[in-house]
Amino acid sequence: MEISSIIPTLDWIRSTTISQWVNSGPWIWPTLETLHFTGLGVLIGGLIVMDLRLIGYKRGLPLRTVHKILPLVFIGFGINACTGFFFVVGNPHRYAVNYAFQMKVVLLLLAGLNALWFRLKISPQMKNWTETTESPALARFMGAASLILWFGVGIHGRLITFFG
Amino acid sequence: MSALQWLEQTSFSDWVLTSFVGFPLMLSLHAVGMAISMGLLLVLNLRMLGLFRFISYIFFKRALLLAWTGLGINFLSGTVLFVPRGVEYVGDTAFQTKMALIIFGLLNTGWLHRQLVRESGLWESDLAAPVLVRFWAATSMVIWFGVIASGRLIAYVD
Repeated sequence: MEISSIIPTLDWIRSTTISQWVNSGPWIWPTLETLHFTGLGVLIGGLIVMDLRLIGYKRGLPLRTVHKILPLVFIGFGINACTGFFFVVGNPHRYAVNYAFQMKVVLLLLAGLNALWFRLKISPQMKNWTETTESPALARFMGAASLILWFGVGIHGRLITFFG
Repeated sequence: MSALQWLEQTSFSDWVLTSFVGFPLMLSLHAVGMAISMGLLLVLNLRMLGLFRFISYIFFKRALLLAWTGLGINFLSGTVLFVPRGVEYVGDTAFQTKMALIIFGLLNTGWLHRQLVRESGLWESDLAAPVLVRFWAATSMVIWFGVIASGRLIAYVD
């Protein structure tokens, strides 16, 4: 797709009230960034707990109930989805052509698919698990994939600065 | 010429500023170390305050080693990022605030770690940790959030 064909759309996004608000004061962008970094910490903290257990790390983590950490993961994701939305709407022309941002979106989609796959394939079996159940090979793979993909998301987010 | 000026003129400093693995890689590592350490400390602090009681303190005794590793990654990557900009950074209010908060944060986390190793067996079945531990766990979240916020502001304040 030619970049010129989406420029009217980008111009329109930039003209919206939300976009103008994001750019209306010097403190808004850094505040959103601080929240975005904090959200990353919240998200990764919860994910490390969940995914380490899936991968097979057992000490002090119960397999049957470890998913109760997920609300923390969703809070972190929610903070970052909101603040991320403001970044893109606030500066659409920059993000549309940014290689690191494009990679970040791809990794986000893969991480989402991984989570969906887990939900469909592994979650239904979990009610039959006991504390001595070994997590199945597929669950281990998904746990490892989740950590790798989410760290990839964080790293590519940080790299956006270096691609314009 | 001060030591910081000398550091800025080293070829290492040039490498950090111009190589793709210099600044971008170090900033990426800084974000990774932040996510690991801040994330795990947040979960520990919330556990001490009474949430996530399904996680045993036994987990945190090991997880804290991972959190310290994250802090170590950030000490190293932060040092590399500091070398080419030292003169500017030491005069920067946001940087000074960040360093002061890090000292408090390290003392706080060291104390919480010691309490965890020595006493957490006694709290395992309680709703939350003793009130002093809870107080410092809550303070920990405030301090480390302050570190993240002041760190981000280094890019803006001059």
